[in-house]
Amino acid sequence: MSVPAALDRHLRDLLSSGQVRCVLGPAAGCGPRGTAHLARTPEAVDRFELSPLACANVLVHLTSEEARRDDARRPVAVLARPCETRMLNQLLSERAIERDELHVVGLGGCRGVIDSRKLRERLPELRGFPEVREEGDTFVIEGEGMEPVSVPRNELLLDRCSGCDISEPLFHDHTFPLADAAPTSAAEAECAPEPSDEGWDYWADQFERCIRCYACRDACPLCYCEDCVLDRLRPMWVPRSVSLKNNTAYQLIRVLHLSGRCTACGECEQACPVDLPLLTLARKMEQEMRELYGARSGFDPEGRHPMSVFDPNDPEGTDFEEQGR
Amino acid sequence: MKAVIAREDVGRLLAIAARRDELHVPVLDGGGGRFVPLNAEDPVPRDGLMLNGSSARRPPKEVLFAQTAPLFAFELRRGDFSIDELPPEAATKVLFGVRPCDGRGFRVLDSLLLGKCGTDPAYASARQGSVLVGIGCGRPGSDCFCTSVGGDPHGTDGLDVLATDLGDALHLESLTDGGEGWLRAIAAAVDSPLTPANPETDQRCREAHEEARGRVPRHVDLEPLDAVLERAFDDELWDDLAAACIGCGACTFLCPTCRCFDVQDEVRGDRGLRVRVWDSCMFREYTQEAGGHNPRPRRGMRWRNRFYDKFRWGAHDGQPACVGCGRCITHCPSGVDLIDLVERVVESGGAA
Ligand code: SF4
Ligand code: SF4
Ligand code: SF4
Ligand code: SF4
Ligand code: SF4
Repeated sequence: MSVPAALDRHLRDLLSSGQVRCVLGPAAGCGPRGTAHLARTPEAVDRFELSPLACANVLVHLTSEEARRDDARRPVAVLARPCETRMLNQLLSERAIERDELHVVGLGGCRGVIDSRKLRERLPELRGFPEVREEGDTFVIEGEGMEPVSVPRNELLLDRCSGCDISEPLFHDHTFPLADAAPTSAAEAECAPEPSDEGWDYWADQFERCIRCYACRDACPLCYCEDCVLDRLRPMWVPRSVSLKNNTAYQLIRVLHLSGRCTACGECEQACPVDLPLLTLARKMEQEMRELYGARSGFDPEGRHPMSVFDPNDPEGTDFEEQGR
Repeated sequence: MKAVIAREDVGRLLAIAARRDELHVPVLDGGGGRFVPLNAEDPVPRDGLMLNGSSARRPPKEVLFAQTAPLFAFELRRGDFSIDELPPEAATKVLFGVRPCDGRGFRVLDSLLLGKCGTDPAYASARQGSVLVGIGCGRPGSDCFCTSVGGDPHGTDGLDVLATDLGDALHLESLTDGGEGWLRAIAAAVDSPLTPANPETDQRCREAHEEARGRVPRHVDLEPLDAVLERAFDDELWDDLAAACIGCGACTFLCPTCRCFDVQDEVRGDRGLRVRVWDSCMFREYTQEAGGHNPRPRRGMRWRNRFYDKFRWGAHDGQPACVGCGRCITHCPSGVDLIDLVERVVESGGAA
């Protein structure tokens, strides 16, 4: 299985006509998980895969150090699910990428993708990349040498998908439907960030486990600073030593640098090799930004970051007149 | 010495072991598991103990080769500079439940950190007298390939004692003098739950070993690799192979044989600590020089470094420095698969 014929043709045309230099999108991995794939030739289009299991962090490769250096990656076509067009909007608003360098192939009617970790946990005997069919409210998984197994959708969906309220691309140059199936209604999704009763103790337990591998930062499409404060040795803002104190500082800096920008895409949580609940942090931050500033990242490609605008009526702003001189 | 212990008595064995030495055991921790110290007074975590299924996600490497090891403290006071040596750790460390691949991993660590280039004092003092009690893998994990790199789910290389899971019991066999001493001491304790092995348990043990070998899910043929690596260094293939990689430290920090470190000074005001911290060749600033020059400016070059370390430079005694634990495959956030890469390198044949 690869991509539908019409989409396949479109991507090949883009490449052979020279309209784009490469196409970025998801492909099947060796195990039950997707991987990002960069096609530079029409033949390489064969590897793309749109199965709900082929979910991969594709957008991080738009702003990676290699992408910044490599002119042969521009202009680039991107296969983007609806939530990914939100991230693209955010990247455009920050001018991390330019609109004319980008050809967005939006994938419509998204019903969510599978969290490969949940799948592995559910079917530990699974080997290779299985076929996945969607039947109503179940995913039917057909692995090598296994009887097909039906699993309810909500047991396998990626966390970001179960809180998602967009099912169509926010913008696109071309769009293709993913499935004939009716999109999930937002009502079925649970949008509230998971609160934690244990509060600080809970987070201390989490941060204590962090091995400071920097995968959460490296996986974030919005963490594209060439000179990251978290790497600095002089001055050393966050020592490389692992400790609750340093790990907490690391994580708070990371999250705060994303406030108002983070689109709660959850790639940080997906990347963490020791399962820290980073999407919970991201959603909390997103919620705060919405409540405090009415700001929602990634919905306006011309949007300005709430911290970068001055509003004299800011309720928490300084009252200059009252303060006098 | 060989001995058998009923499964329900493992907790008693651990309690005895914890009375004698500093004991570390693998437990579930919400993040796939790691080794933690177990004190004699602590209740043995029943559900959390990771002795049945697959390996702990964080390998036992970190118990002896700590991610952060303070080397010495220093202080500048009124022009006087003083250094405080930090006393090395004295206690004998016993690691119970080490998987055979991780046991072999310590041999790779030894070859650098206790090797001919000099000795790392922090590692040497932690490693001194340590006893590695292995546990064989009845059910290898989804990306295990130890049998392709000279190992085995019940391999003994690097371990002092090997435990084999017989279902209702564990069969323990000492492999070294250190292991023999430890097992005898446990057997000699007044409340020892050990019973002698017998021909029947020996037989069940052999069967378990045979069966587990057949369950190792993944395989790779390394035979042709070395000849290709001989000429592949300057090949363009590395950038392609690394295309999906995001350059994080997940693979190297979870690897039982990655052993790169950096030495940094963490200074506050007039006081500071010199620490040895893990480093990763997948990080951009790895071996970046003070003047800014980076010998491996591209991700492909960093991937090549890791690959050559695992299969060529780090190899010793005719075995690769990769012990086939599969962690870097299962937990790579980008789905980069080491076995797939080996195959693609071999297929490329190296530069013409
Ligand atoms: S959810 Fe995580 S990876 Fe996604 S934008 Fe926010 S911080 Fe970055
Ligand atoms: S990915 Fe997880 S372990 Fe790695 S630095 Fe981030 S929180 Fe820590
Ligand atoms: S191979 Fe995977 S785990 Fe290793 S640095 Fe690259 S993305 Fe991270
Ligand atoms: S390279 Fe990967 S498979 Fe090999 S020992 Fe390291 S983590 Fe395990
Ligand atoms: S690689 Fe082999 S020794 Fe290591 S955990 Fe898997 S089966 Fe056990």
